[in-house]
Amino acid sequence: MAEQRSGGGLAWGDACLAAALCAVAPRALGGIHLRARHGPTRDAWRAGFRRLMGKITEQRVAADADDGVLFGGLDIAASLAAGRAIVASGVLARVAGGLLVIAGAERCDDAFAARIAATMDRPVCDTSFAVLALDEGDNPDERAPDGLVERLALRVDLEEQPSAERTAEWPVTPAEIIAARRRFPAVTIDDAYLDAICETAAALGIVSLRAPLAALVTARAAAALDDRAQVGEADVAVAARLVLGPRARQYPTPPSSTTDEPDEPDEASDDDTQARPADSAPTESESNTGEAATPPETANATPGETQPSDSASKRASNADAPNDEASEATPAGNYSELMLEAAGARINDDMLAEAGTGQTPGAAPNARAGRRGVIARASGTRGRPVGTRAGLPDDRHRLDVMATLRAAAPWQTVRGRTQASPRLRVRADDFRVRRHAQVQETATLFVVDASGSSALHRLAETKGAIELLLVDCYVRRDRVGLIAFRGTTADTLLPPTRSLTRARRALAGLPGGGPTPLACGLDAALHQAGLASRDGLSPRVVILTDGRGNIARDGRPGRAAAERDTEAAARAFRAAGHAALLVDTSPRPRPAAERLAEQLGARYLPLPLADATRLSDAVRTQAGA
Amino acid sequence: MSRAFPFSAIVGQQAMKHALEITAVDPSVGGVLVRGDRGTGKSTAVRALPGVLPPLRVISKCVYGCDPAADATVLCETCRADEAAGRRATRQQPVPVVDLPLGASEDRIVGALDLERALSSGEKVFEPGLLARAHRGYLYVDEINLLEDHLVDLLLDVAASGENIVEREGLSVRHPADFVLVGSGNPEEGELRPQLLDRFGLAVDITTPSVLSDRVEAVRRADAYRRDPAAFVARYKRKDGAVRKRIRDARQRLPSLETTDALLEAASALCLRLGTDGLRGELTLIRAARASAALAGDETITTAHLRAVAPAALAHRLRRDPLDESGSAARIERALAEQFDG
Repeated sequence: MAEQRSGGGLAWGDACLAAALCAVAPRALGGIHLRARHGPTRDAWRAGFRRLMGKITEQRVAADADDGVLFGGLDIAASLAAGRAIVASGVLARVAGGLLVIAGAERCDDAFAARIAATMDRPVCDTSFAVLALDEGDNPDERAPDGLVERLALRVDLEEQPSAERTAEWPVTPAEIIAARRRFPAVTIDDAYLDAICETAAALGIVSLRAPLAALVTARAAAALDDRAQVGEADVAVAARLVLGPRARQYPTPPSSTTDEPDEPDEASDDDTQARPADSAPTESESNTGEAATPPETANATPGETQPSDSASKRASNADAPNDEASEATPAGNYSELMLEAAGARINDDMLAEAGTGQTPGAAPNARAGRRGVIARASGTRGRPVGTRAGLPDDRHRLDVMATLRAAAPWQTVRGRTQASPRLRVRADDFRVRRHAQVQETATLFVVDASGSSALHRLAETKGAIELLLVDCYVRRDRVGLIAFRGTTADTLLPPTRSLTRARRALAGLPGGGPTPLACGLDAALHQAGLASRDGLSPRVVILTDGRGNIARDGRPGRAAAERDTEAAARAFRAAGHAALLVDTSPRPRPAAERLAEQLGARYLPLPLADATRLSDAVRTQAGA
Repeated sequence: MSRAFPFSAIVGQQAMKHALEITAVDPSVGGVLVRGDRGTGKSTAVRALPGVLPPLRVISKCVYGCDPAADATVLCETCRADEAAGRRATRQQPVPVVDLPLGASEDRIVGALDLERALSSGEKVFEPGLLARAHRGYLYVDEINLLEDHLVDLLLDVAASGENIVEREGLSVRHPADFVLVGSGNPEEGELRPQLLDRFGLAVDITTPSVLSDRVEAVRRADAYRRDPAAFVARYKRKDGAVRKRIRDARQRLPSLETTDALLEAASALCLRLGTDGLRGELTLIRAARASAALAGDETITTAHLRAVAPAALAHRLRRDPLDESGSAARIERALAEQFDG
């Protein structure tokens, strides 16, 4: 049984199993998304994987490789040296039939992912390849783009293992892989299992049909590995755990019954998947997908409320429709229960956090990817490259080699370049430098005090004002982010995005009440503003509060400690120098809020009796929009 | 023959398939914008198009694939010269569907100086870009909402004028580039500027099939295709052929279809009711209705055709209150009901 092959710690066992499955059917599966820090464990896994894959071409490509590297093109250096055009082949051509290793996949931009994806999608079979995406991101914001990850069937999360585990024998030998590869094309799957796969994917809120397809291929590979001609229960369980679980966008069960599980995914799934106690009762879950849509931990404060009911129920109805009929009639019901259990073992909060805040099926929260690459390449200068101009390179202007050569090329004959003296004749007036757009995109971060003290009366107004500001932002194509603090922590409800739809949804679901963790709110604002400016946006922070924090950073009540922490957070914020505006939302302007504004280096705007429109007007003028 | 996933094997997604068929019958309808999640078959449908479109006859040596039956004014320079000299060998080729990868440089799109020739022989030669390759076919941009605005602008400009004009690096080239622009994207990841939205002829929203049996069937077919592409394509050959015949017949029927005054009035009244800006709405609506009638094999265009294409032709042209919850599709349905039923 495939299950037994995953000996040792589960994470490691699963990682080995994934490697084996990928080795059986590399191109059909698309590849592996490996999320792990650089370290001995990753090296050990890769060595094992390489052994299983056998002799195939392996090409390594960096996440910021450009078209020249990927698709090939004129090798400028070689061409200049040789005096004739030398065309280099691209990595994607050389890797045909092999394995493409993408280093630093978390730094990929969407454009890079799109090119790899387009090549993978091409119907011609002999040029296709498998991808191993090495993702070293250490938080949910930092990860390989969805467009790429979607096409890689398997996902492996490696944590640092004790060395004893690592040196443990690999459960599969290369000889078994070779045998399995021969069997793989002939493996068949029963319709009931296929139904179960699709049903499970729907119950987990997975929209894309690539997921069930990947699960299907994985199940077949698992069957081939275990020398079965037909896919069996164990194989679909493996597929659920390795393919569907990591893609889940919602818990299949109500949060209450699974709260202890997601925290220790490893522990929970340590026992044999099939023998697990049925505490995650998948059948009940299906009618409850609405509530289950909330990742309990990520949306820390009362998840039920933070959910915009419309999107959740819409999705629930999507997921429900097939499930209702299935649980009554088809035998697939049993299998999908099994699969839900298996998948549940792999769902954890980080993953749901990656799937946006679990609110929008199919939404990619990293809408700001794509910036990273651009900025990185422009190194030294800021902003978006907008073509080239004639001029000499200096500290502020980088030489654009291609454009320079292009400018020089037509004149070579005139300038006396001959076969006898094939040296390229480039003159100073051929030089072209890159230009960058000066205007930076703005990311407006709203930091909303949703606590009882400040927000009880004003939350509706605040929401109204933000909605009006959102319209402005939409017109200006700004990005908008939303942070709310209440209870004991601050939540980033929405990282800066351009999608108004999501911003609205996040706002509509904003709950109010509870004490005021002002310091946490400021910390979160600083963190998000930092991320935004690292992405080349200029952040603008609008804080709406009454300035009366009563929860310290550690989540404990006490006004004195809270004020100390708030002051410290404010100082840190000021040191970072982000543009900020503090809107005092208390019924009577208070010195506390004004002092806080000063500490923050923010402009202070008292709004004693503002309605939504006035607040929006004031923010617009004050923030210099 | 193309080994892409067959068009007729795509499960569901009628709105998208119909919109693409309409552009195949009458390319002047304009581009198609497909909005929806990942993994809903957007790319698959577009890449399947060459399989169901009648092949093109092109002038053999032409890099742009000029139409031998076309008027001399729309030929590229080489072909015009050849035509004057009386040479014209032709051949058949499938309709080009060109993928424009996100992050493609302007050089690659519009074409640029052929660096290789310039370096090796000092010749100044134009190297055609993706626009040239898409001539008389389709240009597909996945995730068009993530494309730089100025590139989207450029694409729409060329698509509308049917001609690509390059003035750079001492080159002055003008070549035909008459293509249908198909863009896809997920509005959750960022939206297209309204000015650009308006310039797409049709816009369709698609979702994953919500019925389990459809999903299962879609996955089953995708798997069957992956296991043995050749056999799978062969199995759908007849169905694809039927679609091709339908498109070919519709093209022939199109010129004979009369647009009545009553129909024009109905279209204008509908646009007025919905408050769409400009006259593009009416024009697209009429053209799409004609193509739809031609596809259905009908002799006359009726309001039923108008109603069928109205959502795709108008949904993206409504002046939008960005905070309005009810989608534009609902507003169109309401207006249609008021006008035709009320």
